[in-house]
Amino acid sequence: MFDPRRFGRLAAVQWTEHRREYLWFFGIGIAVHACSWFVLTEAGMRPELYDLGEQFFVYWLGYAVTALIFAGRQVSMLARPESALTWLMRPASGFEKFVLMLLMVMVAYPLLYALAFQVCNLPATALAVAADNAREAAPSERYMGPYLPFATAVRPAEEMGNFLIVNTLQAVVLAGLLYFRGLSWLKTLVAVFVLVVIALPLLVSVTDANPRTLIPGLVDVPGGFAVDAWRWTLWIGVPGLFWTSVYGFLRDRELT
Amino acid sequence: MRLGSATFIAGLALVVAGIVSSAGDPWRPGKADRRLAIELGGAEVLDYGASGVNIVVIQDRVDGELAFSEGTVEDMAQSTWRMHDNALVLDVRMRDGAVEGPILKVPPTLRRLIGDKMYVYTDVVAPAMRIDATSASWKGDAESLDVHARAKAKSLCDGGFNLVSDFHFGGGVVGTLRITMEGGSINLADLSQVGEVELHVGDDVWITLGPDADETLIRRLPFDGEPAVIDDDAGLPPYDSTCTQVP
Repeated sequence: MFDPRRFGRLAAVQWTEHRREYLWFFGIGIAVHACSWFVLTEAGMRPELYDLGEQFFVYWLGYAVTALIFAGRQVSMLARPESALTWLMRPASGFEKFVLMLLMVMVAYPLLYALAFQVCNLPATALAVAADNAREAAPSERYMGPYLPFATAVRPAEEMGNFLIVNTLQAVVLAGLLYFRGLSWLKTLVAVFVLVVIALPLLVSVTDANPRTLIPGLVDVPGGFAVDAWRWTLWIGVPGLFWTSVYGFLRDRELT
Repeated sequence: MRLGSATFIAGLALVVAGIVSSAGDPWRPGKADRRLAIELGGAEVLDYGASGVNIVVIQDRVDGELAFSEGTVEDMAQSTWRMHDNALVLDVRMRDGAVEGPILKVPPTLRRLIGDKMYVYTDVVAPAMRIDATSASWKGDAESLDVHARAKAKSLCDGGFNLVSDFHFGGGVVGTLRITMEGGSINLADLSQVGEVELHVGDDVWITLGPDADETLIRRLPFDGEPAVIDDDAGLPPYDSTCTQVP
C-alpha cells in the first residue's frame, strides 16, 4: 500500500513536472501581495499604515484564497482526459498519491506560503517602521515589525482556527474536483458557495448558533473538559472525514 | 455507499452537529453563570450583569490598589470579550469602598473587536472626582464615522462606581484613536503597547481620530472637577470631594 521508495519517486516526478508551475504560482502571489501593499498604503505614500493588523489581514486572506487554488491544482490534470490517464496510471498506489497530495497541501504549502509572504512583507514593514519613526508627531507605540504566523502572538487561537478552516475547505475543494467529472471546477465552486455562503450561515441563523465558540481557545465558555473534548473532536473529525473522502474519491477515479 | 461519499456526508453531518451544538445559552458565557469568577492577575470578577448593560466589578485582593500590567489588560480584554455579547462597561471599585492615595491607577483601555465594529473602553479613575457625566458624540462624514465617547464619574468614596469612560467606534473607521493628555499619550489602537494612565482633575483629554494626531476629528473632554452633566440620561448624582452626596 505504501512503499517509501516508490513514494519518493512519485514525489520526484511531481517536483520535476510541476516545479516551474509552483514557482510561477508563488511569484504571482508575491506580485499580488505587492499590489495589495500598494493599495493599502495609499499608493505607497503612507507605508506606516501597513501595521500588524494589516499584515494579519493580508496574510490570512491571501492564504485562504491561494491555498484553495493550490489544493485544486493538485488534481487539475484530471480535467483533461489525456493527462488524467497519465496521472492516474503513474506507478504508485492511490494511497501514495493521496499522501503526497496531503503533504503538499497541508504541510509544504503553508510553510512555503509563510516564507513567500515575507518576500514582500519584510521590505514593507521596514518601510512602515521608517515612516512611523519619521513622523513629526510622537512615533506610534504600535508593533510595526513583521507578522510571523504562530510566532507573533497576535491571536493564536484565531490563527489556528483560520488554518483549520482553510485546511477543511481544501479537502472539500479536492473532494469536489475528484467527485465531479465534467466542469469540475465550476461545479465545485458552486457547491462550496452554496455550502459556505448560503447553507451553513442559514443554519447558524436559524439555530441562533455561536460557531466562534467552537474554536478552541478563542472564546471561553463554561463546560470544562466536555466542551473542550467536543471542540477537538470537531476540529480533528471534520477535516479528517473530508480528507478521507478525498482518498475515497481518488480511489474511485482510479478504478473507474 | 462508497468510502468517499460516506465520509463526506459524515463530515458534513459533523459540521452541522457542531453548529447546532453551539446554539443556546450554555455556550454564551455571561448568561449561564452570572457570578463567574475568573482570575485576572490578582483581581477577581465579583459580579456583573446589570440589566441592559453588562457590568464587571473587579476587586483587587492584594493591596487595595488596582494596577494591572499590560499583559493583564489584554487578558482582561479577552476575558470580557468572552463574557459579553453586547456593549460592556468595566467598573472598578475598591475592596473597602474607600480610596487612599493620590491617584488610582487602572488599566486605561479595553478593546474588543466584533465583526466590523471596534469598541474601546477606557477607564480612568481619580478619587473624589465630581464629574458626573461627560458625553461627546460625532457623526462624521469621513469614513462614515459614528463615534461617541462618554465619561461618567462618581466619587469612589461611597464604594460605588468610579469613573467609566467608553468610546464606541462604528462604521468604517480606519486609523488610530489617540487619547492625548498632559504628560504623554496613549495609543488605544494597540493594546499591547498601552501603559497606565493617570488622569488628574484639571487635565484635558483630547480625543483624536485618524492615524495622525492632527487629523480630522478632535474633541476635548474637560475634566475640570466640576459637575458637568451633558448627558441628562446619565442619572448619576453628583458627589463632592468629602464623599458626601449632594442632595
